[in-house]
Amino acid sequence: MRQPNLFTSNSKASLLSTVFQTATRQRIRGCAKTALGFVLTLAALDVAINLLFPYPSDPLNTSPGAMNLYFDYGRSIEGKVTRQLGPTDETSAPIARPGWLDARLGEGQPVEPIGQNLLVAVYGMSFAANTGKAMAQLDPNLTIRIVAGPSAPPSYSFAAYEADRGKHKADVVLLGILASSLKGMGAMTGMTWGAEVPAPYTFPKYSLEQGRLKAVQPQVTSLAQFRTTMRDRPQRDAFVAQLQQHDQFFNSFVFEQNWLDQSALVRMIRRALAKSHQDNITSQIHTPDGFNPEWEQVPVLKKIVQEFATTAQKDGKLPIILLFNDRGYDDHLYRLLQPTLEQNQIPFVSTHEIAPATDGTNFVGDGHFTEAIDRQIAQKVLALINEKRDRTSTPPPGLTQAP
Amino acid sequence: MLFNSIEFLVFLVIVYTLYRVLPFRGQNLMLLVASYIFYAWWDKQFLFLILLITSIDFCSALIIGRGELTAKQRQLPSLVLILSSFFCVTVQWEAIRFSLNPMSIAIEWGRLFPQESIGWFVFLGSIAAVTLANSYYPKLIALPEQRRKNICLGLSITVDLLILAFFKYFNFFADSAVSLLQSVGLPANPVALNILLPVGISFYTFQTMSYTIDVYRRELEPASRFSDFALSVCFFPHLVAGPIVRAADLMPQFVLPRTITFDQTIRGLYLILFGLFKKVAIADGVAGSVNAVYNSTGAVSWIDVVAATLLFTFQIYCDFSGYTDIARGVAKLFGVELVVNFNLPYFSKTPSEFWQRWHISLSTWLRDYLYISLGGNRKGSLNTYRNLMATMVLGGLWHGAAWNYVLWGFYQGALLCIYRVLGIRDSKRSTQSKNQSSFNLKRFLSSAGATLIFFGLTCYGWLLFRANSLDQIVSFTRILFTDVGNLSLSMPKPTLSGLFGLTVLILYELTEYSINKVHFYRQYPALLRGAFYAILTLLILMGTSNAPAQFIYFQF
Repeated sequence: MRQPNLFTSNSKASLLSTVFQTATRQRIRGCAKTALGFVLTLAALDVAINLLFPYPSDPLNTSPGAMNLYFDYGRSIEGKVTRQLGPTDETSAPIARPGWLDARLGEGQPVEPIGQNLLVAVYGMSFAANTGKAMAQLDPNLTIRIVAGPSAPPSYSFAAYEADRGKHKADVVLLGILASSLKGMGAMTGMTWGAEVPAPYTFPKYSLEQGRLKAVQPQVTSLAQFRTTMRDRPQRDAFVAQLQQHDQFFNSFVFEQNWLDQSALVRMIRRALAKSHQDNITSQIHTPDGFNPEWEQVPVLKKIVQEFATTAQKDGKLPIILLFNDRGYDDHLYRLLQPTLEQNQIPFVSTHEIAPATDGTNFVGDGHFTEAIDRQIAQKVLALINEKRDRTSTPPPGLTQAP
Repeated sequence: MLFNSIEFLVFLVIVYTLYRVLPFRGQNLMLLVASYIFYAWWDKQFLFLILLITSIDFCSALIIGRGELTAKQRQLPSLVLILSSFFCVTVQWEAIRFSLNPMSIAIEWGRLFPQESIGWFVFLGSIAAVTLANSYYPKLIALPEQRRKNICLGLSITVDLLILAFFKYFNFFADSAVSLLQSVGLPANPVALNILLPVGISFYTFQTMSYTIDVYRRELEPASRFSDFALSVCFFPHLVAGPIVRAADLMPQFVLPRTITFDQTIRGLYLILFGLFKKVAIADGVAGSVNAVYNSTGAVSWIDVVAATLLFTFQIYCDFSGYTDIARGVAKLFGVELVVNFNLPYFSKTPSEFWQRWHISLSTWLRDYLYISLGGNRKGSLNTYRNLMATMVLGGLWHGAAWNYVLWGFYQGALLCIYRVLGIRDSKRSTQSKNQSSFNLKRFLSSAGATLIFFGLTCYGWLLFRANSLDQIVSFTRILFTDVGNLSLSMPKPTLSGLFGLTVLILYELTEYSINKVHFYRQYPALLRGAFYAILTLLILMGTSNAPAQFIYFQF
C-alpha cells in the first residue's frame, strides 16, 4: 500500500532550501579555509625566505650565497646600493668602488712603460681587462694600464679615455666595446641598466648636436660624493631627478627604496617588473637579427669611435677598437660598426671570428670568455700592434702561441 | 597578447566583467568581438583569413545540411567578407596615431588608404568572389543533392587546405623542389615569397574542416546563426594554440544560455594557476638551457645533448599543456568546457597510449578524419602500417614546414608500427587496477621498465622535433652514440623556478598517476590545498623573471 505523503510542497521546498543553504555555507567555508591556507602559507614562505636567506649587511661580504643573492635580486636599486656603502671607500663593497670617473681614475696603474716596454692603455670592462692581462702574459715587453668599469658601456669607456688623456705615456690605446653593454649607452650609471647587481659608478650621457658629441655630465662622479648624496635627501632627489630625465633605463618603482623591500615575494614581483622594463627597452635596441640602427645612440656610438681614433692619432697613439661579441649577440656588434671602422681606417679586432658567440664552449659560466679565448684575442691584438708599430713579440717560456 | 602577460590579464578582467552583466545573446556577441580583438592583437590582416574561412564553411555546411540558405544567411557572410577585407587588409590602421597627452589624433590619409597595396587587390577580389558566389548560388542549389553536397564539401576543404598550404607550406615546398631539381643537375632558381605565418592557422583550419565533414557525414546539424558558428571557430581561449575543438563539442555551448557553476569557476581558476605554473615556472625556466645547446654552433658533449633534450621534453610538455590548461581554465570562467588535451603523456608505455595522452585533440582529429578515411586497420596489416605512417607523417608536417617535423612524424609512425609488429599492446589501467588487489613487484618492474623505455624513445623524438636542421639531427645522434659518458657539461643551468617547478610537477603527476584520479588534490583538507596553491604561486613569482618566451605551439 502506498505510504501517505507526510510532506507538503511547502515543507519540501523548505527542506531543499535548507540543503542548498547548507551546501553553499559549506562551500563558502571550504573556500575561506583554502584562502586562509593560501595566505598563511605565502606569509610563512615570505618570512622563511627572509630568515633562511638573509642578505649579509656587511658591505665587504662578497659571498652572500647563491640563494641569498637570488632572493635579493628584486630589492630596489637604492636599497641595494645604500647597503653597499661603508663609512669610507675602503669599507664599501668592492662592486661600489670601481669605475668612478674622478681624480682617482687610473690610480695604481702604470703611467709610463717600464724600460723599453710598450705601454698599452686599455679602456672598457672586464672583457677588455682580461684581454689586456692576457696580452701582458703573452708579451713580457708590454706594460698594460687598465681603466675599467663593471660591464661598462662605450660611453663610459670613452669618457674614461678622455679623462685619462695626458695622465700617461701610452703608445697604444684600446677601447673595448661589449655587445651586451651597448644598451648601457642609454643610461648614466651602472645602477639603472644593471638593476639586479647594480654598480653605482656613473658616466656621461652623450648625444649628437650638429654632428658633434655633447655630454650630460652626471651630478655624482665619485664614491665619496655618492655616499654623501645618498644620505642627503635634497641631493639624492636632485640626482634621482637627473636620472629620471636622462637615463633611459630609470624606473621609479625599480629604483626607489621603500618598505616593500622587506617582503621576499614583493621582491620577486619587483624583479620581474624590472626585467620586463629592461627587456622592453632592450627590444628596441637589439633584436635576434641585430642592433637597431635607428636607435638614437647608434650614431653617437659611431661618433665616439671616430672621435677616439682621431684624438688618439692626434696624440701620436695607436688607437685600436676591441669588439666583444658576447653570448647572445652573434656578430651583431661587428656588423653594426664594421662600416664605420673600415671607412675611417680604424684598426680593430672583433671576437666573432676568434670565438663565435653561438659556441657555448667559448664561455665560462658567468658569461666571460675562457682563458684560452682571452689569449687568442690578445694574440690577435698583439699581432695588430706589432704590424702597426713594426715590432715583434716573444712569448715568455712556457706560453705557447694560441692556435 | 600572451596568456602570461599583463595585457591579457587586463583583457580577461574586462571581458569577464562585461560577460557577467550582459544577457545571453549579448554575451555571445561580446565574446565574438573580444575574440577578434584578441587575434587582431597579433596581426589584424590575418583576421580576414579567419573570417573568410568562417564564411565559406558556414555557408557550405548549411547548403550540405539543409540544401539552401536563407537570405540573411547569405547576406551576412557576404557583408562580413567584404567589410573584413576592407577593414583588416586594405586600411592601414598604423596611419592613425593617438596621443593622450595632449589629446590628439593624427591621420596620414595617404598611408591609411595606400594607392598601391595588395589590400585593394584583396578587397576587390572579395567583392568579385562574393558576387560570383551569389550569382552561382541558384544554380548550385538546383543541382542534385549528392552532387551539391560534394561540391560544397570540396569547396570548403579546398579553400581551407589552400590557405593552409599557401601560408604554411609554400616556401617549404618551393625550396625543397628547387633543392631536388638542383641535386639532379637541373637548373632551378629559388622562389621564396615573403609569407608570414598566421598565428594558429593549423588549429582553426582543422577545426572548420572537421565541422563541414561532420555535417556532410550527418553527424552534426549545421549552425543556423553565423555568430554562433563564428564564435565556435574563434573563441579566444583556444583560438591560437588549441585544443582543436570539434564544432559538435563547442557549438551547442554557444547556442543555449550557459550557467557558470561555482565549481566550474574554482576549477577554472585552478587550471589557470596550474597552467601558469607549467609555463612561467618550468617551460620558460628551462628554455634558456635548451636554447643554449640547440642554438650552439660549437662543440657540445654527450651530457649536453642528453640534458638539453631531457629538459626540452619537459619544456614542450609544460609549454603546450600549460597553454591548454590556461585555455580550459579561461573557458570555464565563461561556462564553456573545452576538451582535455593532455593526460600524463610521459607515463605511456606504448606509442599508441602516448597518442591517447598527448595532444589528444589532434590525435583524435587525425584518427577520425585521416586514418579512418584512409581505411584504418580494416584492410589488412600492410595497409594498416601504410595508413599509420601516412597519418603520422602528415601529423608531423602539421606541426611545421620543415623536414625535421616530417622526420619526427615518420619516427612516431615507425614506433607505432614497430610496437604493433612486436605485439606490445596498451595496458588497460583502469581494469587492471580493479583486478589488482595486492602489490605485484614483477608487474610493477615490467610496467616501470616499459614506461622508461618508451620515455627514452619519446625523448629522442623530441630531439628530432627541436633540432634546427637535419645536420644537427645527424650530429646530435652521433654524439649520443659515440660520445657516451662525456660528462663535460657546458649547458647553462636551468633557473631555480625551473628546477623546483619540475620537482613539484613530477611529484604531482606521479601521485596523480598512482592514485589514478585527476582531481586527487581535492581530497586533501582545504587548508592544505591553499598551501599547495601558495607554493605554485611562489614558483610562478620566481618564474616571472625568466625571459618570457612565446608559446611553442603558436608557430604551428
